[in-house]
Amino acid sequence: MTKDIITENFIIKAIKKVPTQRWVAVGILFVLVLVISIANPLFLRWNNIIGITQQVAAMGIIALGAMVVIITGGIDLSSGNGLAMAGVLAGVLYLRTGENIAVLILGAIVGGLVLGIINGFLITKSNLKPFVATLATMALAQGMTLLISEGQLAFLTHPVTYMIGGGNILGFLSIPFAIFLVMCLITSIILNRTKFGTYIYAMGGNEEAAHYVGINITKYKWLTYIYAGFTTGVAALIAICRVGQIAPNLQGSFLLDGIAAAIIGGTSPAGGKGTVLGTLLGVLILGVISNALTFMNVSSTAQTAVKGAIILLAILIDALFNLRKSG
Amino acid sequence: MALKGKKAEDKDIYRQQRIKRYMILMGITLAFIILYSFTIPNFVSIDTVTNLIRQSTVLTILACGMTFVILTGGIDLSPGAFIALAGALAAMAINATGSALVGFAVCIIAGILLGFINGLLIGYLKVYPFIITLATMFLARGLTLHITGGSRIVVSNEVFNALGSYNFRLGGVIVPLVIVPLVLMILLSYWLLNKSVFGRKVYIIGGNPRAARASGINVPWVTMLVYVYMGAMVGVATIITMGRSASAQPLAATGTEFDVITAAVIGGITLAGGAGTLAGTLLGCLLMSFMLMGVNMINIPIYYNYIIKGIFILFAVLTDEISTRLATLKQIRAEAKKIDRVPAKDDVDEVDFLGEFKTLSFRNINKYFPGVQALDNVSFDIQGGTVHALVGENGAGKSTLMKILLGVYQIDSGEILIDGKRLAIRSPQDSQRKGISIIYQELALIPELTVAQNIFLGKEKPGRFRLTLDIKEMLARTGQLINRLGININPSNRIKDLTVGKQQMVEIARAIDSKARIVVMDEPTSALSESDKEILFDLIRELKKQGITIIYISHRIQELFEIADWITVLRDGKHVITLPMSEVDENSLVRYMVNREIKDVFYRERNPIGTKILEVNNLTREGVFYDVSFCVSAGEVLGIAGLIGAGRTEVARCLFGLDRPTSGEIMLDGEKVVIPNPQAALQKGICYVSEDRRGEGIIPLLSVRENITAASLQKVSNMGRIIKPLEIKIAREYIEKFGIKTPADTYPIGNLSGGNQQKCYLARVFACDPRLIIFDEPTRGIDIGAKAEIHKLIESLAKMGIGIIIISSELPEILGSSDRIIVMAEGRMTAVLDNTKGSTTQEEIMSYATKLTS
Repeated sequence: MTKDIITENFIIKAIKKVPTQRWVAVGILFVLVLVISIANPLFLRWNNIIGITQQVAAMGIIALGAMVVIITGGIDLSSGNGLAMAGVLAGVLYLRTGENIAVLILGAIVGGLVLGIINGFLITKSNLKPFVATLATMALAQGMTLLISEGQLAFLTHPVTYMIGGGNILGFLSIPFAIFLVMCLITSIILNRTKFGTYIYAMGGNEEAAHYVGINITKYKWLTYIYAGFTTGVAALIAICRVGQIAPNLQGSFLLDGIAAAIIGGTSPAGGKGTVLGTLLGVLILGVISNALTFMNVSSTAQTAVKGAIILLAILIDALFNLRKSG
Repeated sequence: MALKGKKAEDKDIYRQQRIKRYMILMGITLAFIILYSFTIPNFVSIDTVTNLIRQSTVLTILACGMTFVILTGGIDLSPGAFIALAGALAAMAINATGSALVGFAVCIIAGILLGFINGLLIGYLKVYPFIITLATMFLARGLTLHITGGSRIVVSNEVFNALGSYNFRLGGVIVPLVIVPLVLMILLSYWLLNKSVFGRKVYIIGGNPRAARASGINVPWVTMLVYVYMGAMVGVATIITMGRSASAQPLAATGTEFDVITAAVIGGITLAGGAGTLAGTLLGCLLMSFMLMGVNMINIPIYYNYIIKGIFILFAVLTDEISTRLATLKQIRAEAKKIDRVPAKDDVDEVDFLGEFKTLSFRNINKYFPGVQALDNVSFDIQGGTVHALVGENGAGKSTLMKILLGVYQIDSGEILIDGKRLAIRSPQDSQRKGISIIYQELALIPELTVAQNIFLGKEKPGRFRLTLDIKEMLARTGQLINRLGININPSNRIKDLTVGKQQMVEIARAIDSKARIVVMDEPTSALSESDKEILFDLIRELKKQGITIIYISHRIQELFEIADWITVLRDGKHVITLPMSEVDENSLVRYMVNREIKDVFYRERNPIGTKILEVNNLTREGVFYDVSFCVSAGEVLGIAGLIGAGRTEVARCLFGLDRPTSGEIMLDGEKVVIPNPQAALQKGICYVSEDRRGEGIIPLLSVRENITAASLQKVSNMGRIIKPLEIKIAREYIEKFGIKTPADTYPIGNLSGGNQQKCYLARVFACDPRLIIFDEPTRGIDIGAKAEIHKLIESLAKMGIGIIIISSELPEILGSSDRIIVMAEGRMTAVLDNTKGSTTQEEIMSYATKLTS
């Protein structure tokens, strides 16, 4: 019996694992691409697809961090401003140290990690609700960003920054997107193949039970926020290299886009549920939408509205599914 | 019993906490004022006040609305974007029509409509508020940018702009006109929140949504109204925002939502809902406005704003956290002082890891919780390698003792010894590492994880490089384990896809797999079928052969005779007796447990039965229960017996409108009725007292008085206004009538004992003048004295001519109180027994309850 179970056809198992909700996301993405490419055949051009992958990378990495935190039943509001802080910090340090590229990379990641450590400390050691704790660090990060970047207006001109921001591997895989895919892989391994990942689901699914079986909740929840901080740092590196200058308004709409992508991808806001594949789909849906709208000459301003409508639609479909299931 | 006068008022703990918070907030504000008055010239002046009002109006008005939203446990991220959208629409309307009136109307209507959309989705579709308002925020901001083309729309209508910009003179002082809407909105919000039925419902929903529903509150409707109210506040704020800049700006009020939430949080509103006051929010707004204004006046860089804001939030919530912790600590210390401590002997060795052992001894164990001594000097021995039953009523201390053994709680005094060596358990991890494992009564599995992941939870097998896990090995080991147990489960299935019985088996497998020397089983058979139970017992016997000690907790006394070697009885936190199982019989055991004859507790004097009230014919809920028919008359007590999962509670839920039956009819006074929701049931005089008292019964953050009147708000109100003297009168009347032991009617219900909470819950039900009451496990989890009191109450209710249905798993309870008994098994009725003479026996009921109908 055991043998059958293990050798069960991998593909069938994979398909079975994908919940209905995920198919909805795939469907939306497919219909979107179809409609847009009919409306404008240029959409499917290689250049444009590479463009999309470049655009979504930083937001996608933020979405991965958001997902991990949401699975534990928490929320991280500080990722957007944290991204700006880490990016600006890295940029300033980089310029001060004579354009040392290692400092730029390390600076961004360490900036993100520090934020994650603080968030984790507030949530696990001071017993604050994640919403409140990260609301506070969001404000702090915003202030820090302005404090660090004040008076500095400088461009990043090192060839490596160009590479990270918009380079290609073999002409078809943009480097930002490659970094995003690597982060997806890392997150996926963590969630599916490590103790830490198992505990992330356990904490979100039934925290009390997780405590009773002897899981060190403090440690793993803290680690979760540190990991989210790490994703913020990596995203910051890409974001600042794409912009190519120290800009205090780097945060853009990363926070909300990231959370939205995770939710569209089927991460349950109640915790305990969510997959990397789903979030990847969510990221691509959002990316395709904003690219297509640009392509169809829809003003950038109207794009936000469409984005809101799409999120609303995804939530509604999900809510209707759940209502029907619960009778 | 209610004490009266000033002393009683002091018992309002929440009020003390609130006042403390107000003092802190005012203190900080004052500190700011002093700081600024030294650093800023002319700070202490009328101008400052005028400025403050101008700057804080929008924030404060929005915070009023947000208070309602957060009190229901929600959140609203959209107000900033809504201000921009409503503003843009209004600006276009004004410029098209030239009418200020149209502008006002558009602002308010747009605000309300947008709030309505939020409310509809959150209230009726039950989507998370955070996500919904995030989406509507995007939508509104984008729409605004689109219709305005990203640029501001100038509004030159002076009448319209007056509200935001006009100043009038009052005795030589310039007063901005915005003070009028500001004061109006504050007063309105205050009145709604504290004096109206609507406000009370907001608190009840936030405190316990399920209890709100069971109290006949239309939760989706009220939730929606809350967002509509928020929308109206947005409308007013829009008019002011536009008037101040004489234009509509597409990026107006960006980020305001976070300021508003911050003000509310600083003011003490908990994001979980149910707790907080408007006064707190207002102080939070005042503090924030002062801080921001001062920073602007000092001319320091803007980023200090953000940093100070962040520090504020942390400060506000951390002081709360710390003061609560200190208070709890103080209370525990005070209670611990009351007894003589038995000092732990330092010369005793400590046990690192459990091997084979002869005796596990509990010595003078004491454990206190705020207000309760859960364990009182408990000492007894457990022989290694035996099955030791632990019995006692709910609240006797069994669970507390086991949680100490498992490291969930720490001992206040006393010690645990293994063959004379000390066993110190510091945490659940520690307990597990030392070889103690448990099967919980409530399922403690993670629904989204697989069987294998759950079995290995907390003790995963690392793979080759220690970083990742050896998933194949874990699946294979789980497969072996499951085969050994003879259960048919796929190790890679997720828990949520299994039946409850199978989930229970997984849990048992988990405990057995660990290399435990002691396995605690807390009601392991409660969800098992007869054949699964046999498998479990075989397993227990096998574990015993391996020398493993099993502590077996169960309410099913018969099965203890089958499986246990020794038995220990606890009562009210005290050790009563420890005996070999062969030396006791059922009757003496019950006497040890409850210290009185069972039949005395539940005995009820029978009274004449009146006309038929309720008749149920062939009621069916597909997949849950089928063809249930019975009737209840005035003054009659109908018992519904059956095992857990027989469908008893589900029938009751249909009668109370919590679920809908798929077919069959319900007749009330001979007329066919439909009961779509609890409101309808309550209107028809049908009340339901839930088995889940914490879940559906009490609203923990509210006072005794507010709990008692929660289901009968119509009775104590007039045109939506709560008549406080009447409410107090009714509440005190019930406190008296039910003998609720509380220092005051304003005392928080969460601080009362379980029995008194139960009585408050019953008082809430009776306060709505019922004709038929359904009791679902009315005495579960309360002490024996309170049990007897509740049955006295049932007796008096029956005498008053109220029809009563009692659902109970305790057969003596059913037998002692019912006139007629229906027995259910697997969703079907298997018998109707006449018990007017009290002649039915437990055996008779059990034979029908275990009878398979299919």
